[in-house]
Amino acid sequence: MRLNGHIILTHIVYLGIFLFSGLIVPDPAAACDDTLLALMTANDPNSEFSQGIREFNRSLAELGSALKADKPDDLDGKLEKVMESWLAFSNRFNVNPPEVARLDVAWPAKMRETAERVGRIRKLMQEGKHLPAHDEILSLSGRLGMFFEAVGMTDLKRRFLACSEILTRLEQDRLAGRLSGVRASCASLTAWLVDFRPKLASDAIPPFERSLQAAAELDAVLAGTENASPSARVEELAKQIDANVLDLRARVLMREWFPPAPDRASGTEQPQK
Amino acid sequence: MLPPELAFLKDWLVWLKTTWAWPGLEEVGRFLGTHLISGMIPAFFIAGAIGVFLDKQRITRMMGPDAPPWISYPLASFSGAILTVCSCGVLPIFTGILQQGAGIGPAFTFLFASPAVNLIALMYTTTYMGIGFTTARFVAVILLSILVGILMRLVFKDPTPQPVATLEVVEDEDGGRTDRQTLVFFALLVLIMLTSTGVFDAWLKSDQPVIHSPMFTSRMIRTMDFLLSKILLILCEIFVLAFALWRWFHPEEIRQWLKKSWSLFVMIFPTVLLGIFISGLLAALLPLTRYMGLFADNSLSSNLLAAVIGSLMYFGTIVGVNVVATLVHFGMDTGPALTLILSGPAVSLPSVLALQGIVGRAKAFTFLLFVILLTALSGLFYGWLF
Repeated sequence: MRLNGHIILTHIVYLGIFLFSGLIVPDPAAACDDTLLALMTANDPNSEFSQGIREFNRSLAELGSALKADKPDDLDGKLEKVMESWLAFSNRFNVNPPEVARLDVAWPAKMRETAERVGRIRKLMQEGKHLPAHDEILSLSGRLGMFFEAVGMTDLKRRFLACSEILTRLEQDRLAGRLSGVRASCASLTAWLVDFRPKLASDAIPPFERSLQAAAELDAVLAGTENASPSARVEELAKQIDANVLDLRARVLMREWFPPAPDRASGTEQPQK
Repeated sequence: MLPPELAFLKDWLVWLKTTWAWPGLEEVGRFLGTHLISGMIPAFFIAGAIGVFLDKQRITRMMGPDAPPWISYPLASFSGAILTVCSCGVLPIFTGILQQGAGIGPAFTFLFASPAVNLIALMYTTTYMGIGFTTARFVAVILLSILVGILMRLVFKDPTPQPVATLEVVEDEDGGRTDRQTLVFFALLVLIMLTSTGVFDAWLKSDQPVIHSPMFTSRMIRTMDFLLSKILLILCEIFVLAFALWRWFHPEEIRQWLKKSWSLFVMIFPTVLLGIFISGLLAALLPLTRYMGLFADNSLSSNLLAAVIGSLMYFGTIVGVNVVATLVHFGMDTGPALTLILSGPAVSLPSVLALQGIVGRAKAFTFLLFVILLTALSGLFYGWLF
């Protein structure tokens, strides 16, 4: 398959985003996964649909960060931005879904669900319940993948979408102090990693093993604690999981977009997909 | 890619986006792209046809100052149901019936009701807000439009009609056509408007897989497929209309019709564009979501605010429904929601500005005032009931 310059450039830009996001330790609120959304919209990043949904997710992430940092001065403006961006998006796509979602019969229900969730966030913020509002933002951000369900997603993207949902759940449960929920998410993540293992090339093994180890350690820490409030160690391990999974994703995507030349000796490529 | 000699246009556009005028220009661009060809141009042709081909005496008899009010007001209120016009698109038709002898009351009733009771508006309201809210909207629009018409008639007197002169003109103008032929001609004009505003779009969109092409993406192929089907359908309708004109109308009548449509366009359209521009600026300066806290309850102030905002902002028929439905999901009370959906389509800053040139400043602003007060009270009552 021939790749033209525009596609290569687009991939390089997104690869840069993924690699960069894999190197830095993510902000907990940034579990609203902007990079995953960039991946979902990578087929047509400049379309009005892609730009609109990324703008909405960005405004959600900003509100989530402000709630997490407890900056009350900033909250109203950020909430307004969330509502504005969703209103603009729905004015454009509620009645006329984008081409990629043309056959999605559940499209109106998805649009309505999102608007209702924004309404719930607003209500929680009005009641001063900032943590539940942040929880709701994480949950909504994790649900944005539903707008891509009708798109012909590759198995790889579906896997990463599933992983993002697990990480979002883990983050929500950790922040709410639901330790059994965190342990369940650890188990789901471990299963996801193990299932992914045969498809990984050698350069993805280190972040894979670090993710697996951090998940096992987190589970062990939680198994031994009776304290319901999340400890510093739990938070540190959760951050490690996030960082390593992002690193793993960046490496896998790099191989998908820029596959290595076949091994001349054996005539085979390293395992991938 | 732009050729090098036109590269300055791109820089100019980038610069323009940084200026205060951009939101207004963007709104104007959106309006031209979505409403000019689909809604406004057919409306001007219908208005021109009303002015030239329609029996003036008949309009005067049914909607004139001396027509029985139990006929003229309900007729004016319901007759817009078959049109798919927004608050600006209804203006040329309103001007047409006013110039043909309709009384001030029924004419303003028509102006208020048409953008809100048309099929598209009611269909989308049912889809996004449920049958209960749609019923409330429909009943409120009919009652309020009649009330607004009666109030306008009470405040401003109708000019004295000149029946003898009118009758002479009408007898000369009918060109020997039968009523049925005139009706078919108007039905064709309305059909073109319905097609261009997208009433039949669902039937024109194909769900079949597209043929692969190295030159075009599947999205481009689908878009071209849809646009070509739509253009072909409109061209067929125009062809039938042209045939009807050729068979049933004198060339001089056709010339008068085109001249009348053009004069209405020149009178109304530039002011509408100016209003759309200012409306776009206002929407950027005062976004609706900033007032969500005030819309959360059903008070007189929240309903008045919704009425004022709805009366100044410009909403297309479908977008208006989506805005209200989304704001309700965000937490807007049902009272202000009904107020907004009543005032939004009925009147807008562009339509009020253009209305000044048609009926004068006093009538235009009195109409605006009545719309604000009556829609706010209706919303308050509805919110109190439900």
